[in-house]
Amino acid sequence: MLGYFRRRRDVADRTFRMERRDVLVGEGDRVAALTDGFATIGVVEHRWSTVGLYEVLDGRIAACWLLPLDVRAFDVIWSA
Amino acid sequence: MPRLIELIASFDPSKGSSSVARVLWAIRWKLGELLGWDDPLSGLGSRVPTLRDPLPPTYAKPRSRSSIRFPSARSTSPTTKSPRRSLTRPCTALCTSAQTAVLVKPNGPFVTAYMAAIRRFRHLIVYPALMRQGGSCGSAPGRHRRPAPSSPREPALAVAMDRDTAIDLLDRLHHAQNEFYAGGSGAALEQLLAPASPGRSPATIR
Repeated sequence: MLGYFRRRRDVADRTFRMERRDVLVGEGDRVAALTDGFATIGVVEHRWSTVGLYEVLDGRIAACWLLPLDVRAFDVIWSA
Repeated sequence: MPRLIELIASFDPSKGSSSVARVLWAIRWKLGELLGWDDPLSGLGSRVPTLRDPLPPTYAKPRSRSSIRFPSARSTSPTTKSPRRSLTRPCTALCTSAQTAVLVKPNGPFVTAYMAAIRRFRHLIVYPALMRQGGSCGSAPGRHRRPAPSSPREPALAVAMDRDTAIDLLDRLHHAQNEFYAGGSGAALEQLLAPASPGRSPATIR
């Protein structure tokens, strides 16, 4: 997972930041979070929203499924 | 949920413990055979649309075991429409209770009379036997417990997470991520990711 974060940091040249908006918990050990992302890639400022579905194990993140609300825009941003 | 659906789908009321109910079911199936009530063309998806039909294609296509169809030939007959709807609700961390409703709508005056004729049999014999049989299936030893983890990745027991705890964890995660994205070492971030252990891969993102 750290490798994935590192690649995003490199692509966004350290301008990437995240802001949590809302959190949903269910019956089990999974948590969903609506999060906004911001980054300047090239000279263009981007903003997007994702739902992250996190699997929690012993108070730590064991896995994450990232679901962009606008998949096409998300792909365009990160393939730039 | 998949276990519950499997249980309901495999449920056969004609094989219950009540001999009287078994006889009544045998009579019913014989009548159905003679009058063609249980033919494939008389069931769900043919004479009567399924509850899945009106759904958008995304939801209409069976995708998992939780989409298992109930036994269609015996879920409906030319005499009635009887969609069955099941609801589950959490009982404790260890078990789930289920509620099933059978909605019956007779087709025409002949069927209304037929249903009235068998009403006493249904209420006095068939339904109580069904409830006993269903209850014993659902609460049989070992049935109510969550199965042992099938893989090391599956947690041993699902315990509801407190929302404040989840918010705190995600805030720390996002803070650590922002720090890392700004050029930090990632030490704080690593501490929030579950480490690899025997039989379990390190934290992943998909």
